[in-house]
Amino acid sequence: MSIEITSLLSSFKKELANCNSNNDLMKIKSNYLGKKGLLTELFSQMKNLELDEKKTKGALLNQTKISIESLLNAKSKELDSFNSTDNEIDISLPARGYTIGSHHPITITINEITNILNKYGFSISDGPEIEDDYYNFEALNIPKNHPARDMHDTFYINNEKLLRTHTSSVQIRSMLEQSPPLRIMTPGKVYRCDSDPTHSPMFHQIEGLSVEKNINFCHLKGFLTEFIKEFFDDKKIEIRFRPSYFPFTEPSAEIDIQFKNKWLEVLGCGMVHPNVLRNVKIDHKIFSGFAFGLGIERFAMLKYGISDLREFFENDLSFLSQFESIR
Amino acid sequence: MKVSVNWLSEFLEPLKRDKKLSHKMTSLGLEVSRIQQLKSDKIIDLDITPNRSDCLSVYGVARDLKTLYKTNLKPLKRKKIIKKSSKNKHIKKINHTISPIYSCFEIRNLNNRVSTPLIIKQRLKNCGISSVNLLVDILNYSMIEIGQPFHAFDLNLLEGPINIRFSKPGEYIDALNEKHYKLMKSTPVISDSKNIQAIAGLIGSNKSAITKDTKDVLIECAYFVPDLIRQSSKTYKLQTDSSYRFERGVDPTAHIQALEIVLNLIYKYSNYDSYNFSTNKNLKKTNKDKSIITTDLHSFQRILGLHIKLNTIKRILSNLNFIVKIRGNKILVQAPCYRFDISNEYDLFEEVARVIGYQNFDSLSLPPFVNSSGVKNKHEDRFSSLFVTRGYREVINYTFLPKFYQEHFNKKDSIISIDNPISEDKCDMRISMIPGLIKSYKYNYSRQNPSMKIFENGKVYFQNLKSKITEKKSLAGLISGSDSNYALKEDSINYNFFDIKGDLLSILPNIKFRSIKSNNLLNKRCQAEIIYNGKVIGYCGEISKKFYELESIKPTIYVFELFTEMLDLSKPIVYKKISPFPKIRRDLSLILDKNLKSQDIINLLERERFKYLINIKITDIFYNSKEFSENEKSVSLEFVFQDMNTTLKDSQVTDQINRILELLKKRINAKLRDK
Repeated sequence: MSIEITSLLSSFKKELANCNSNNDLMKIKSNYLGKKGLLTELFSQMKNLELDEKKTKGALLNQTKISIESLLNAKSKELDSFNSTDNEIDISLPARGYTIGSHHPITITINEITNILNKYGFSISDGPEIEDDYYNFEALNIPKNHPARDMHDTFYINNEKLLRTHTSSVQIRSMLEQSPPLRIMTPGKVYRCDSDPTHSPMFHQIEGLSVEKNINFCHLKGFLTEFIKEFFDDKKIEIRFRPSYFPFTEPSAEIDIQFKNKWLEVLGCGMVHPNVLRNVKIDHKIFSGFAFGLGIERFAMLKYGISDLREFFENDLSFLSQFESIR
Repeated sequence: MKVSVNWLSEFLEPLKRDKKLSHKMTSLGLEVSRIQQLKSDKIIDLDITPNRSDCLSVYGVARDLKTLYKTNLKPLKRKKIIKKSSKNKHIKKINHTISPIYSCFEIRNLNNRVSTPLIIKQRLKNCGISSVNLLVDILNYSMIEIGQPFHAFDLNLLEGPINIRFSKPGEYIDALNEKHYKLMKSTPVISDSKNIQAIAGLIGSNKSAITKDTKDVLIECAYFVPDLIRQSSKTYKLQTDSSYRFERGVDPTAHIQALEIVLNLIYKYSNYDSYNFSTNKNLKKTNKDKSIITTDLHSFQRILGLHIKLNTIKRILSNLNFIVKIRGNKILVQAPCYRFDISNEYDLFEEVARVIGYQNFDSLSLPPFVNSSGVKNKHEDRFSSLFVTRGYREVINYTFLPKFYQEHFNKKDSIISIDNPISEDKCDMRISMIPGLIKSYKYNYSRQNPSMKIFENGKVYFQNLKSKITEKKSLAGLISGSDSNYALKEDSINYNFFDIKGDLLSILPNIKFRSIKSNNLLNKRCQAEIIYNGKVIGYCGEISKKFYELESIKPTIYVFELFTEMLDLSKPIVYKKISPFPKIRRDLSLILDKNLKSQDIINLLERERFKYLINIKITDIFYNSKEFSENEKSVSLEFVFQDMNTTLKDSQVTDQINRILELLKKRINAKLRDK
């Protein structure tokens, strides 16, 4: 009888392996475990056996029944997950409860720039937007009545306070707080009393400043070339350095890039002026450094091909939704 | 500054044939912004930086460019003035703090009816100056050529000799631009015995204006102190070709030369009987003797990073008319007096660098730098990203708001106003970002976008009674319309307060909300303070009725504003061992006073610290039932019990539930709802 039991199990296994539907599975189940099933039959034969044999065979039979049941269960689950086309879900329907937000292109651009600069050791410094004349102008070597003030149409709050015209004011505050060597970057809002398609009374700038030993003009040139290539993701971009004038740097330079067959001004920079270092009590005979500043809007416009500056502050959802992506 | 290539070539011959001229100019620091090709000439528009007043003339530009060509400048065409007198009967008194050098040139019986020669007319036109009459044209032409501004008075229209002095209150001038200017106190002026005849260096009076019939003239050729001219220009909001040059600095040694150019042109194109020249100087107040700058080769190399030879430096600077002397290791340099921008050794580094050409400098990599201060981890950046994942779009608004707008919501003295606003709608600094967000909402609503979740990350500005200005970082958001992200109609729901509450809690799980009525930006029926660690860090709710009224909007709008600097997220995480024993859940449905706040029930229970109770949750709430009166409501609560050391017995939990019920009955008059 024990041979019968083993062969019964193996034939069950064979049938099970060939079974492909729930229907067949039901048949197999009743074939073995049903009232007139093969296994039930063997159980009913038990009463004819000797007591000793009853014990061993009974145990074997029970074990077989358990394994058949668990195999049937497993098969049934397998068939459910593979085969049931009855309640198929149309996965092409719209998703539920998903949400799409987006960062403003200005924020995206600031983040891209600060990420690059961070690799070069620059860390973020912050300062007030409503600033003292001293930090915005005087300390940066722009005394009252200096014609360079014409480069900045300034919004005034009162005689002492103004809306900063550049983030360079943060340079002074940072140099007073930290001692060199330092590399800082200062993103933020700046204001100029100017409004047309290419000028906005409020816009964003980022400035970088390094004050170290043994930093020279060639470093400035090499570093900013790398930076521009990295930001525009273009190793072959044509870059031009030309002399310019900022009261707080000397020598000063402007960087132009080739864009649609024209030179386009993108960045101002220079070696930190000794008067600026003197104003923050840093010895310009020991330390030197460079500063640079750029307009975030300009960089964003070039990168994304935006032509009207005013679009940045209209906040049209159709404009904003174009900047969805993981950043 | 527009310059004609033909005119430039009169001083520097090789320019005319140089195809790379504009490129060379730019690389030298004279940025070419536009080139206009004429039939027989080329007009180059130069952006001269404010430091380079020496290049505000054709001759000045040629003088700077000379350094790139191996030729000398051709001389200016002049007619030598034979000095006539040291004192001028037409000048009474000169205040030298205004004008350290004041030269006068008197011409008698000039024929000013001759028409201006075409070449002068044409060249002036190319510079944007229209022709007036011969003398005026000649003076303008000479100014463009040499950079010295002139002014001329009709001698027969002057009342007695002139004074150079500061104005007194009540004085005025009817200027050549047909405008009447009431003069402030202490404006530098030129006056005769009766009238103001000119605001020094800025504009003349039409009382003594030169006409075709003018016969006798007094030509002024002066050096005015730059700061004073700039002040006048700012005060009277007027900039002229002459003030532009004076405020940047005019060569104090060039005035005789300049008058000789004028004389030459008058001599060439017209006739006169006699002239008389006089000059009045007090040279202490000018730039004339430039001090000597001491530097050395090492300093050049340290800043420029270039291996440069001493001889190269000497050659470059000498070509720019600097006087260079070598004394051992030292280089002693004296700049020409027309270079107002040269005062220290860095100025010399720049001179050498621009002549070498920035394109010829090496590109070096920055040495590695370990930042001791590290990158500041800004909460607001992290929160921004979290709001984006919750479906918010970031906006950026102007930080300005229209005049008076904020007075509806804030105390007038807390508002910071701009003294010189650009327009009526950009006058005051925002105290809250909510108005800006509502503006963005309105913009999109009117463009068929009624549903949105937007936020802004920025600053708000206000002042206290002592006018102390404060800037605060703020993160504010707005939601309105329905959740269009549930794409199927059946799923879409209209946003309400609890969406904002949910978004805030998803980002800051530990915040609490406290009902308030005091925020003017928000609607009295729906406003809450946001509390973190016991501190108020912001607020949220529906916008105030005033906004609906002011902006004429109808759809309901919910907003929040968080002041992120008040968040201290440095609190360490405390780990507690978790219990391996099963949790037991029990529900209670209670009938309560309708006005009782759900949070108050939970607060009450949490304060009592019931044994084994680890969580309480409100699972259902409804009003208006036959089971209770209309002053009541039904609230269902779910309680979760668990112990650290053992499986709880049913009786232990029931015991706690009974105690809870008893407390609720006693304290808030709760009744158990019949099942």
